[in-house]
Amino acid sequence: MSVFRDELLKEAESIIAQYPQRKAAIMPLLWLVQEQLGYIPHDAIVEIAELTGTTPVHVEAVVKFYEMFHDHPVGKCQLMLCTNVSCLLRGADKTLQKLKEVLGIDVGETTPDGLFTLEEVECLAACDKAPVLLVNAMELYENVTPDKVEQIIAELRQRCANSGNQNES
Amino acid sequence: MAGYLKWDELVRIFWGKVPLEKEIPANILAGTTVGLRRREIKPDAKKVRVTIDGQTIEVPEGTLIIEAAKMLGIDIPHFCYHPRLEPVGVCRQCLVEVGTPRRNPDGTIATDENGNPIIQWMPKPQPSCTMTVSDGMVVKVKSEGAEAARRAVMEFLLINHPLDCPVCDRGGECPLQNAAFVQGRPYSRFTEQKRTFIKPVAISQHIALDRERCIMCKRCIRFCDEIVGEKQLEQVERGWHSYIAVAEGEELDNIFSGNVIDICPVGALTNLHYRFAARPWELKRTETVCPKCSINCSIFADCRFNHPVRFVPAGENLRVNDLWMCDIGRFEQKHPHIEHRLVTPLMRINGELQEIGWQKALDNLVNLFSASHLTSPAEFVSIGNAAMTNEEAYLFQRFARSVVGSGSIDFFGRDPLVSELVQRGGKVGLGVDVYALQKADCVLLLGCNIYRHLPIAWLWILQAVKKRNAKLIVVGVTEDKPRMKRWAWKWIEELGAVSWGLDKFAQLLADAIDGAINEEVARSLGVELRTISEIADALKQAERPVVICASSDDPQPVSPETVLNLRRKLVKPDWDAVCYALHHANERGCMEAGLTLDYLPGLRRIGDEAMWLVLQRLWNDGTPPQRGYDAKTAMQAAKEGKLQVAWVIDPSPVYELPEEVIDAFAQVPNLIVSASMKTKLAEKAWLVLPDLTFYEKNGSYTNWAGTVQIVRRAFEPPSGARSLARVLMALSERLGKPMSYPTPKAVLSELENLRALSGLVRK
Ligand code: SF4
Ligand code: SF4
Ligand code: FES
Ligand code: FES
Repeated sequence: MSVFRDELLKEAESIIAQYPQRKAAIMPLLWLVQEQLGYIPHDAIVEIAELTGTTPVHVEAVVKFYEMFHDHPVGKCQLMLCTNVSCLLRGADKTLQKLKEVLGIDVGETTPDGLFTLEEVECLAACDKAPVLLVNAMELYENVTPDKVEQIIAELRQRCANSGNQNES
Repeated sequence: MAGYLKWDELVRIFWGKVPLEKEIPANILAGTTVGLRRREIKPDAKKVRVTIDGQTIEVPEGTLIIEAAKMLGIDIPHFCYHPRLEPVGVCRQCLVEVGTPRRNPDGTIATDENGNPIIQWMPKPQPSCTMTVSDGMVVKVKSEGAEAARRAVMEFLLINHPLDCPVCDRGGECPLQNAAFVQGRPYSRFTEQKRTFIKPVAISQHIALDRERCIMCKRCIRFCDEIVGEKQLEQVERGWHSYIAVAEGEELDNIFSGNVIDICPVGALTNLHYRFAARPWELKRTETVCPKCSINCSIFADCRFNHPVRFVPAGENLRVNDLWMCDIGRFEQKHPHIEHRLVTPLMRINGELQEIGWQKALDNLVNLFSASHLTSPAEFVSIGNAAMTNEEAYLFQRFARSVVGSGSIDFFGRDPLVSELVQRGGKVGLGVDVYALQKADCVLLLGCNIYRHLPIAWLWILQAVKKRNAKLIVVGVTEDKPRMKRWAWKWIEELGAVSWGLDKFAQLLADAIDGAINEEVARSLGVELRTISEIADALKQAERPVVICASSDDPQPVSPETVLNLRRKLVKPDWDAVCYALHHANERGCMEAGLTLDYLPGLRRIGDEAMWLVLQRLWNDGTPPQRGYDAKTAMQAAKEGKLQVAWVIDPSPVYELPEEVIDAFAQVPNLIVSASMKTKLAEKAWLVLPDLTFYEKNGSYTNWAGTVQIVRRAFEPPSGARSLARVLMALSERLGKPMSYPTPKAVLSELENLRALSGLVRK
């Protein structure tokens, strides 16, 4: 079953048309797929390669180069905890430990209910508020000491559940 | 601790004696530093003067520093630079110090009080593989600064390298190992944990990838992309996590994939068939040619303990394969193990094949060929094969023609259409200069899948398409479509179901070049008129058109008449490339050596009296033989019991004979088979003569283009196996009509003279 069909295919074509070279559309097309499916399945990689006139391995390399592209399904909430120097000095390792305990997963894993994925990232340029936790590449929680973890998770769980309902209705 | 030398110093004293990379034997560095990058430097490029380590040289503008240094005999250590690939500058191993003359505000060169130009040094060392020379440039390769920079790079490269040379197939011929010995630190300062990977992983059925050893030079990626035109490898992930990979669920399966093993400067890509098979210093290396197709790539046959363990390109052959070879030649050559070889002649006695000595075998042959046994020479046929050397082919036909007086001569693998072409057109249309295909500007492939059958020809055509925008037109090829189609300007896969459809199409095209299109034929073939006239125009306008036509070994052949017709219209005074695709290794050589019923050596017709006179002189006797049986009619005659004696040379293991051939010749009462193993045909024989295999022969091959190249013995044959030439010479002497040549070279020079007489020798 192909990923680029009907509407999506049309949109892809219009994206490709914006660039002087088809190859330049690889990244926007990857975003398009990820927006739709939450991750980038292998079939989509093959299709994008065909659409942009390259080979699958080339597109795959792009996906694997950027952390924010996912080549496997991830949770609704992606938790990216910075563990670079400043954050580490301010106790990010303890926060990470706590996160692991609360969620019951390791770094890089997704909770069985499909809600949370935990990731470790490098400096997010918010060292003055270290340690920091970035949620879904949009929302930044600052000064995340271990004692705040449980509350944040509860809050996010609540929100995810709500947004899930909204989507279904 | 006074009195003790520091470890550091000890090592420096010791390694001080290690030869520099330059002095390491050329074969060890083969494929890494041989030759220069042949990139487009305009012929009218301005000359500039550059001084490297005190030596000055004048080179065309656009030359890379590393290449200019090479011309001066200065080897700058490098990994990612490769003479045939575009420079990328990723490994930083080639750092040098670079200075340029300071200029005054008015553009003139500033000089000091002695009148010497003032050199302005760049603040940081520069990669010599990406920087081109400029006038007055001064480069330091052996300066302290440059050497320190390169040593530092080496230290970084080794941080994550496992240094498992003792169990690495590349150890002993590894550019990284060599460079580390020359300029690496004697011990590692890196005490942290190295990055590790699961090792090795198979990226195809032939190649293993060890990601720990990879130094990310990207040569393998660039080779697949730039040379093969199929980007099948990529660097994935980032920074120190990055590694080389094929796409998920795919294999590195292009037909030139094996070359990445040779160009990988470390042991990251290794040959699965050669895994742990030998250490490079145990190998006996012989330069010979590949017997798998009519391109005849120059290769090294590397043998250990008298057995070939691998085949690699022999380095720059600028007539044929340059630095590359295909996977068929590299991985698919089987060589019978010594245990399976025939080492003594066998004879059928009471229905069973029994071992007899060479003496007895020769006695029996003498009896057989003493005229009394043969009522007519036509009852004797000699059938060779297209894997024989020129010398064997020449002697074999001389034996038949002058000693036995039979005209029933042929070889398996001969293409009847090609013979017909020779009959009609003389010596043209047999092949093209392979390396020159790069210069083509319009290429038409008629029904032959050269990607599979003449791989190196495809490689050069692809270069023409990529670099010169040559127009590629492919007609009637279905295999390997995804690989070929993306390069084609016109791709016509199916022609209407008309017999000889491809031939009709070619005729149509030939007419269209003259401006006349037969619409009816075009309609029956299902091709648009516009397409035809577009192709015809492209061919007509091309300065160097190439047309390669399918022969009888392809699914649908083109007739000789059409080939000649197209040729007449497209040939240029200095460019002649309309030809058939020959499939077998020495097909052309066997034809030119006279191993066919219709032609004498030098492709002269059998009726050619002048040639026959020459031959009579050379051979000291012989009556002009009648045209006898060819392989096909001989099979028929054998089935009808009309043949008394047949001498067949079995081509196994280079290629196998079809069952029907074996069944037919099994009917001949006196079947003589020369074979290296107990093949199916040998089992049916009356007399079996142990023959040499290809890699045990000395002689020559003539490739598709007519280039004669030397075949060398790579290892000793088992005692008991004798070369066909030796058997024929001994036999002819016993029969009182001696053919004697001291060496294969003597045979070749006689044959070369005959070829020269017929205008076949290439300038
Ligand atoms: S596998 Fe070899 S050729 Fe390819 S990038 Fe690594 S070191 Fe270079
Ligand atoms: S192209 Fe032909 S001659 Fe060259 S390596 Fe391949 S099979 Fe051998
Ligand atoms: S180190 Fe964590 S935000 Fe900079
Ligand atoms: S050889 Fe120059 S950077 Fe690699």
